[in-house]
Amino acid sequence: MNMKKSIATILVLAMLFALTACAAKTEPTAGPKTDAAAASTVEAAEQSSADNTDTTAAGADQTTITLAMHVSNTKEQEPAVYKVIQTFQQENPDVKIKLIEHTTEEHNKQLKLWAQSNELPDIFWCQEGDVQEYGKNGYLLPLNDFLSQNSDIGAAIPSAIKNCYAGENGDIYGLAYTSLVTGFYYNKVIFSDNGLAEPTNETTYEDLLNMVKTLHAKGVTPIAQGAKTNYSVWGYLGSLNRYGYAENIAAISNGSGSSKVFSGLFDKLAELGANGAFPKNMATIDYFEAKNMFTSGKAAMFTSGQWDAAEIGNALGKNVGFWWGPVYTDSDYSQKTSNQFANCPFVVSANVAKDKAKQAAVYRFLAYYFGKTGSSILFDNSNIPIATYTDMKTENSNPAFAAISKVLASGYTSTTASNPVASLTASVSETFYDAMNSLMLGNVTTKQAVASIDAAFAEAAR
Amino acid sequence: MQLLSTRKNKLLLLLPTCLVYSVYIILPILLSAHYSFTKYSGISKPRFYGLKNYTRLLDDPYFWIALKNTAIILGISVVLLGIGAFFIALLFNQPMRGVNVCKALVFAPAIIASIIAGVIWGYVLDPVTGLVNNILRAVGLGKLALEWIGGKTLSPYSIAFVFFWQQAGYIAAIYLAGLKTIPHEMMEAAAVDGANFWQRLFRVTIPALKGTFVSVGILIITGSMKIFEIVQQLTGGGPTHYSETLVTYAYDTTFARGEYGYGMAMAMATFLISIVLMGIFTLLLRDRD
Repeated sequence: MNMKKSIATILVLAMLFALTACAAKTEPTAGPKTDAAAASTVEAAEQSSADNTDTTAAGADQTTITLAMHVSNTKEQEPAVYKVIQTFQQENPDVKIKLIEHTTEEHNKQLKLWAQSNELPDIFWCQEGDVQEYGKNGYLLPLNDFLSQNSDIGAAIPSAIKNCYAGENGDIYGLAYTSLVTGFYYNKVIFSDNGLAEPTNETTYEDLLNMVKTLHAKGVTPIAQGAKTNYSVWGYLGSLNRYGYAENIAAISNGSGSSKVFSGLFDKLAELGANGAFPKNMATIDYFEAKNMFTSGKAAMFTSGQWDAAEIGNALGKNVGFWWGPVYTDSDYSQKTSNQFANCPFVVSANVAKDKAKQAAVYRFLAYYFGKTGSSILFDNSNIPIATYTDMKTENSNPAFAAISKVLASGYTSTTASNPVASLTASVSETFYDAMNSLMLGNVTTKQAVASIDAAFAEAAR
Repeated sequence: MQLLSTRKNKLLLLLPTCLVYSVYIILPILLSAHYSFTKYSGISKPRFYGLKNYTRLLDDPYFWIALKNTAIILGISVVLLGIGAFFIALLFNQPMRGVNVCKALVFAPAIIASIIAGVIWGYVLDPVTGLVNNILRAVGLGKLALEWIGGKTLSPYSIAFVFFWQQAGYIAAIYLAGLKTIPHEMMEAAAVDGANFWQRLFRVTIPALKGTFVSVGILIITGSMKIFEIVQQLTGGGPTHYSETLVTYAYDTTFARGEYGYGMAMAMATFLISIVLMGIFTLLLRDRD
C-alpha cells in the first residue's frame, strides 16, 4: 500500500513539474506576419537590469538596450533607421541594441500588454495617439533632461516638432523618430503613355478626376489602395488640412465642426471610388500588395510617404514623381499646405531611469540618432530627420527622394505639427480610417461617415 | 489498477488539470467579465462604467453585422459539417479501393494552420486575381465571377465554406470512429429484416450515433463561434467590418481601437450566446429515458 501511495505521489509531482515548466516565462514571439516582406524573427525584451551587461570580446562591459520597432523587418521596411542602429553599434561596441520587431498592429497590442506587466522595452516607437496616455500614467521618461544635456540637438529641432509630444506640464514624452512626409507617388511613364500631364501643385481635384476617368477607361488602375491596411490613407489625411482641419479641430472634437470640415473631402473620396479610382479588389488587398501594384507598374499613383522612397526609387528609377495631392477649389482654406509633419515618436521607458548605466546608454543612442551623424545617415538612406544641421554632410541620389525634396522646396508649409487624425486616440482615428475606406468602397454615405466620427469623438470624451 | 482508484488519488491526479483549467480558462473569463463593466484603454487604469458597454452593443450596427455573420457561418457549418461530413463518413465506411487515400486527402486540410488556410483561399477567392474568377472568365462564365470576398454580402458564406473545407475531414473522422462502434450484426439483422439503406440509416445508424452527434454539435458550435484566423486572413473583417464575426470584431475593438472594456463586453456576449446555444443543443438531444 505504501508503494502504491509513493507511486501516486510521484505521478502527481511529475505532473506538477510539467505544469510549472509550461508556465515558466516564455519569450514573446512575433505577431502574425501580415507583411509580405517580413522575414525576421523577434527577440524578447529583457527588462532585468541585473542581466543587461555582458562582457565584450575586448573585456569591457557591454550594456544592452532594447528597441521596439513597429515593423516586422526593420532592415527592409525602415532601412534608414536600421542603418543608424547598426552604425551606432559599430562605433559604440560597449552598447548592444536588441531589436524587437512586430507589425504595427501587433506592436501596439504588445506595448499595452508589456505596460500592464511593467516590461516595456527601453526605447520604443509609439503611436501618436497613445503618447499622452502613456506619459500621464508614468510609463515614459521625459526627455527634457536629455535635451538639456544635448543643447545642440534641441536647437536643431524646430520648436513645434520638439514640443509635439509634450504633456501639459511641459514634460517632453518623445521625439519624432523622423519627419513624416506624405502624399502621392506617381508613375511618369503611365501618365505619358496615356496622354496625361503629370500632376503638379496646381492640379485641381477636377483635373485628378479626369485623370482617373481616363486611366480607368484604358484599364489602368489610377490609385493603388489596400483597404485591409485601413490606416494607409496618408495622402487623403493630408488633404484634411486643405479643408480646415487645423483651424477647426476644437469644433470637430465636440461634434459641431465635423460636417463642415469633412463633407467636402468625403464627397470626393466617394466620387473617386465610384469612378474606378481604386483597384476592384481594394477590400481584399493590403498596403504591401497595393505598393507592389504600384512598383510593378500596374497603378499610376500610390499614397505613401518618405519611408517608401528607397524602395520606390529603386523600383521605378527616374520615372517616379511625388505630389502633395489636389487643390480643392470648393474649399475656403489655404491650398498651399504641405504634408510634412512630426512622425510618431521614439519614447523611453520610465524604468530606464532605475539603471544609470542603461540610461547613459540610451542617451548616447538618442544623441547619436538625433545628432548630426544619425541625421546624415537617415538623409542618405532616403528618410528625413527632424533635426537639421547647417554643416550636415549628406549624399542621396535616390530619384524618389529627389522628387520628394523637389516638392518640399516648393515652400508650402503644414498647418498641423502632426498628421491630422493620427494624433487622436486609437478609437477615433480607427473610425476615421474606416470611414475613409468605406467611402472609397462606396459602402457608406458622407452623412453616415461623419456621423460615425462624431459618435467616436463623443464616446472617447465620456 | 487499484492504486489509482481511491478517491483521494483520483483527486490528486486531477488537481494539475483543474489548476491549469482554472488559471487559463476560468480566470480569464472572470477578468473579461470584470473589464466589461469598465472603460479601459489598456494603458490607464480601468474606470467603472456600469452597463454602458452592454447598452452600446445594442446600438452598434457593426455588432449586429458580426452577429449576423456568425449566425450565417454557424448555420452553414451545421448543414455542411453536421450533415455533409456525416455522409462523407458513411462513404468512407464502405469497402472501396483507394478509400484510405481519400481519407488522407479529406483530412489533410485539418492539419493546416487556419491562417495558412486563409492565405490559400485568399488567392483562390479574390474577386480580381483569384483562381475561381479567372477560371470562370476564361471559360466564358464571367457573369458568375462574383465578389466571393471583399463585398458586403458573400463574404460570410465564403468564410463558412473555407471553415467547412478545413474541418470536414476532422468531423468525418469523428463520425467514422462512431460508425465503427456500431455492431455489424445490428446492420446485418436490419438488412435481413428487409430494411433498405435509408431505413437502416434512420432507424439503426443515426440512433446509435446519438452521442457522436452531441460531440460533433458542440465542436461545430464552438468552432463557428470562435472563427478568427480565416476571417483575419481572407478579409480582415472588411470591407470596413462587413465581414466581421463576433470574435474578430471584439479583437479589433480591443486591440486596434484600444477599447478594452467594450471589447470584453462583446467577448462576454459571445460567451453567453455560445453557452445558450450549447445548452439548447444538449437539451434537444438529451436522453429522455
